[in-house]
Amino acid sequence: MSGPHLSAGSLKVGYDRRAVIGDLSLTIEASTVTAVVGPNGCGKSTLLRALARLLKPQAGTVYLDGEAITNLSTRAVARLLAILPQGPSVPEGITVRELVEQGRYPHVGPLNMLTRQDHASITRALALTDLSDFAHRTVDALSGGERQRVWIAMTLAQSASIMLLDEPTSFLDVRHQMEILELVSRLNREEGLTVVMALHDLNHASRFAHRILAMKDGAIVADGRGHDVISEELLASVFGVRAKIVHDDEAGSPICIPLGVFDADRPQVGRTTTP
Amino acid sequence: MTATSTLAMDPTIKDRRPLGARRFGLTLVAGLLLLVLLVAWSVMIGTGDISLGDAVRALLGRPSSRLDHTIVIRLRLPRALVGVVAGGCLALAGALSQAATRNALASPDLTGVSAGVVFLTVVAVGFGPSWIYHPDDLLLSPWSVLVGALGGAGAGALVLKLASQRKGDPVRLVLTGVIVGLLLATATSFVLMVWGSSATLEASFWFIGSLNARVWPHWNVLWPWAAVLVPVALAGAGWANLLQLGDDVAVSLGADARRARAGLFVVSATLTAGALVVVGSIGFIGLIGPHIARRLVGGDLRRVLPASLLAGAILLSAADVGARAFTTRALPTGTVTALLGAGFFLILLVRQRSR
Repeated sequence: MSGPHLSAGSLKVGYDRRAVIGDLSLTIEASTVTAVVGPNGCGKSTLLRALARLLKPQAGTVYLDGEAITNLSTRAVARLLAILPQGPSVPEGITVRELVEQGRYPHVGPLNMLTRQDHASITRALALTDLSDFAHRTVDALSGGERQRVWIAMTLAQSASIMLLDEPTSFLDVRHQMEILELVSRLNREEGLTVVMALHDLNHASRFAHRILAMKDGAIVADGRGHDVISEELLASVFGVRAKIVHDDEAGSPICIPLGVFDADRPQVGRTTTP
Repeated sequence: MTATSTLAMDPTIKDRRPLGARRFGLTLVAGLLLLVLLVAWSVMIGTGDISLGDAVRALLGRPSSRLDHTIVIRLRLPRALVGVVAGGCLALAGALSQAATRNALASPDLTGVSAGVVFLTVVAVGFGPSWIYHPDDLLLSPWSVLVGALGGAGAGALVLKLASQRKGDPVRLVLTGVIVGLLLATATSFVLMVWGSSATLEASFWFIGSLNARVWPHWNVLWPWAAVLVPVALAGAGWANLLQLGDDVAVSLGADARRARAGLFVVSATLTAGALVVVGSIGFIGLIGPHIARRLVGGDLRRVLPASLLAGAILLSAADVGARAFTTRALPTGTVTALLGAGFFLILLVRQRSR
């Protein structure tokens, strides 16, 4: 299974004059799951947004299947690459199915008429995210977790082979977190979906990703399999957290247990655990 | 999405359409009926009431008297039709700009667009070529719509630019819009004073906004624009739906968000200009119409846009009929819509704050 691959050369990205990412190159192999981890403000979202052409890099290029992404029409990109940005807002009165329908936009003709295949993709996306029963409810009446699943369903309906997810599990309870991650994992195994997701939970990252990219101050400081990346030293240097790493025999992945914040970084007044 | 769920289509959800969609057909039919009744009523009342039977006979080309024919066909029918189309255009313009800016308060009057239309039109009448305005019958040339649209789009773009520092604050956009609108209204008054000829009085009548004395020549200015712009606006529903989701999502789905917004905005400003050039500055239809439409048919703009068109037509017709049926003087329609709008706007503001 090989779909298009995504790569970036010497990316420099920022907002106004402030550079968030200095000089970053990477290649995402097709049909892999990559997790981007790092503290708040390290540039995870900025990287995903730049990879998905939502942010124009100040220097460097993003390549989609070897072609500079700026040379492709935004619609052509949308057929290959989907991104779920963080915290999108929902228009009033729109129903779940209507929102998920929007995911078909890059595939429909100029008259926006949905074909049978479009409807099949929409129905499938709803089923995959457990939303079939919610299809005709209005999105603004749903809980935060349900809304997040609606957005994921919209991204799935896009039928792109590369999917970028910016903290897809935020606002979700632990069951729905697992469901999203298992879904992503399954789509990767069964359909060769390429996934890049920003995650806060290191244990999720090591459990569900083939590859972990740890970022700090806009640069990749560690890159590899969970076993190789998740270490006490990494947690200390990247997050400033004292942690214990144990091995989970069942999942076969390392688990980190944060113990406390390093004294050197912050005074330890009433702050013992900061995940 | 648990391991047990299948990839197959779920057959149980097929025919349970959402409330807004199920209501859509009913809303359109009920709205059209109401509109026909309002037009009939509008034709019947005025200086010298005409019975429904006589009005219908006149409309069918067999008037009971020559006077009936004159009143119904030459005076009241064009007035009613101008009201229907101008109201529809204004509400459609409001629905488009609300979607494009993701702001429920972004109607042409509250974003400076209407004031921009009026200002540039008045300037064109005062200093432009003479063919642009026929002073005898309050009639602007069809091409003045382009001038008005330019003024409206310019003022609207300025307001959006000024308000763009804090996106997502709906009241800021409106505040900016109202301030720019006031400045433009002052500038308009200034132009009227400088120009200060016998035409001043008539121009200020146009400015107030009314359906009084709108006859076939006015209709002939309005309908070609509506015939072009309404289908264009309705075809923009797909774009408008994407823009409603925010720029990030719209771009990630493959839309050119900037161009789409600019396009919808220009269509909205031109619709506003088309209506205002004919009926003068009639306000608030663009705010109230889309809100009623959303309430009835949900949030999908493929339904909201046609429903807004209808809601605006009904609102302006009802305001016109109301102004004539319940007052003895010829109250300008704009006054009635302003009254309606002020109340409605207050309700919206209170609800927004309590959210």
